[in-house]
Amino acid sequence: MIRIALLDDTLRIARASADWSRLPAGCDLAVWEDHLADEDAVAERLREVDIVMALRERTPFPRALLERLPRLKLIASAGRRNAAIDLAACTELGITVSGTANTGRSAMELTFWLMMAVMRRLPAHHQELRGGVWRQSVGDQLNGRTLGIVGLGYIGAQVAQVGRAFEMTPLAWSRHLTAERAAEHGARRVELDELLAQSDVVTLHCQLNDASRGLIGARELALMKPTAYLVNTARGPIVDQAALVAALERGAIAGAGLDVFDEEPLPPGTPLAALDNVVLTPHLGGITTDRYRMYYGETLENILAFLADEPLRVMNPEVLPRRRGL
Amino acid sequence: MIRVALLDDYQNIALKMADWHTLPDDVQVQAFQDHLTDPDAIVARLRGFDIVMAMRERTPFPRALLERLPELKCLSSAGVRNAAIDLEAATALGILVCGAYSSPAPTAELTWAIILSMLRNVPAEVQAVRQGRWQTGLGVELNGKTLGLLGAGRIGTRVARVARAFEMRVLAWSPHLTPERAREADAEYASLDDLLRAADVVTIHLKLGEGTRGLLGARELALLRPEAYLVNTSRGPIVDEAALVEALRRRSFAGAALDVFDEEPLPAGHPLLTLDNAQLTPHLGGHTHDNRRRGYGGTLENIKALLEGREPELVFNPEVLPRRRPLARAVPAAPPAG
Repeated sequence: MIRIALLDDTLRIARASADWSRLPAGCDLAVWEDHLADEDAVAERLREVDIVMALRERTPFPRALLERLPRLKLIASAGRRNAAIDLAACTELGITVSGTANTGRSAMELTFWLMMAVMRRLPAHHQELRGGVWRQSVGDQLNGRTLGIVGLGYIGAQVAQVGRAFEMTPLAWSRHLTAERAAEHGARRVELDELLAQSDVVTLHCQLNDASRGLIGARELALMKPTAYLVNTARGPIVDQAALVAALERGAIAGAGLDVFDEEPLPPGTPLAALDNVVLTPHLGGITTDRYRMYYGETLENILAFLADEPLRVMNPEVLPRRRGL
Repeated sequence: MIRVALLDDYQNIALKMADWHTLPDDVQVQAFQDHLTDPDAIVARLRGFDIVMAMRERTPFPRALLERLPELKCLSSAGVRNAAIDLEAATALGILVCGAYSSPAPTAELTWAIILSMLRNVPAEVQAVRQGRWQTGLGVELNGKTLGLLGAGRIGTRVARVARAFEMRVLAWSPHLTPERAREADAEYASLDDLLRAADVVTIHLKLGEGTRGLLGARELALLRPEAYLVNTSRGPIVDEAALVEALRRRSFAGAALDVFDEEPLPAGHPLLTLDNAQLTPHLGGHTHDNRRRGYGGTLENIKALLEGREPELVFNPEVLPRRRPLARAVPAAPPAG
């Protein structure tokens, strides 16, 4: 019996998102709809499991946990990278880790909703009207505004392209961004400080790493215009959350649209929720039917390939000669 | 003394949005923040005012009201048209009606904001976060979907341009649209019925008039696919509201995002307020600071033109010009003799 576990299916779409009937006889598929925060509970759940699907970084796999799972042979992760899996430990222990593509335009689409939602105060209007209150407001528009894009990679480039369709003027910065690459995507490369000072909307699309952690802190927020907005659909820790709360409370910037946070799910009672010029969404960037079909579809393929002894899309290829087999 | 009234200035910004102080001393400008619905109250308020600025259609000016305003010389509206002013009546009475250019961009942007709101189910998700919960469902992406554009005018063409940037296919129809003009807007011409049958998102960008009132009734709404969404940022009466409520109740299509209604403000207890597949906003349309500045600035220019004996730029009823009520101003006292 080969035991396969799909974790964190809180949206209850795992079974419908791929054709699991393709699994060969002798496989037992368990789909878990609850999220376990406690490592002991995770270790207990996975004790007899051969293959586990990790839904992005939802459930971390640090060395301490991995060492408690001698039966585990494959972690099939959704997405191209997974910062919550100790890849070196996996390789040492002989555990194969596979990934999937992470392509699509869903994060960019959400970014523009967040921008407009905070500039036109949409959630407040939705809620008030539902409650029978008709209150109009005068908002801000994208047209004619300067869009400051931090990180002009896969998603940032899409943002520049759609920003231009909205007749915004894109500026861009990242550590390794060249003026040529920026121009190719219809943006002008500037230094970060200039981007912060000139932009009407600052939107973050860089990866989280040592260089970008806390990139936007008190100093950077103070450089922004008091009429400017910050949008973050990248990763929470890129922004110093306490500094952001202080800046918003002071009116140092006009508002913020946030899809990502230091801690997710966002704990109740967070100071961000008390502010009236923020829009908060629960990390919706990649939460679409198309994206999930890709994650589950490619994960199923990775599992089938592993079962056929021809592992696919392996994140730690060094493990292959010495991998735990079935 | 020439008196100017600026109506429906809800946010109390009118006096800051244009350089009213550049008007001559004998022109007095007053802004009103509250909205009046009772015609007697409106007449009482506007007694003695020579020029009234209407903030779009918030306060309608039908014949019955205009006939009770004998001192009114000019009605200036923010925007390039105003369906709530009876132009024929104004002309008959000698009242000049003019407008001020406003940008179509913010309405096009709001359209995209509410399309995305619906497809990503954001009101429910935002509420979940506020209540300490997390993701509640899967959203739908725009790329690869078909946008059905009703109307390819000032706003429609902008909506189409953004749709193409979002990698959508765009079908378009309007009463006067030709395949050539559709192509110019980077869209494919389709008949109304074909468009309604094929689209994933139908969005309305038509003027309200005889040819478009009740354009989408029960028969048309029944053509929408079960997964399709309807968006209306134009005017409520373009869609048969009763038929819409019925179709949403039956879930014959996925949902509607509405910024406009037959009656505004939307009355409390309206059936649309009870439907979970309807997302509603209070006619936010093109109301941005930029457009406010244009509206008030344009009205200021209209007033100056009149004072200087010139024609304002955007006159809605040019037929009135030869016979309009003149703005009477005190003649400056003659200098003392000797």
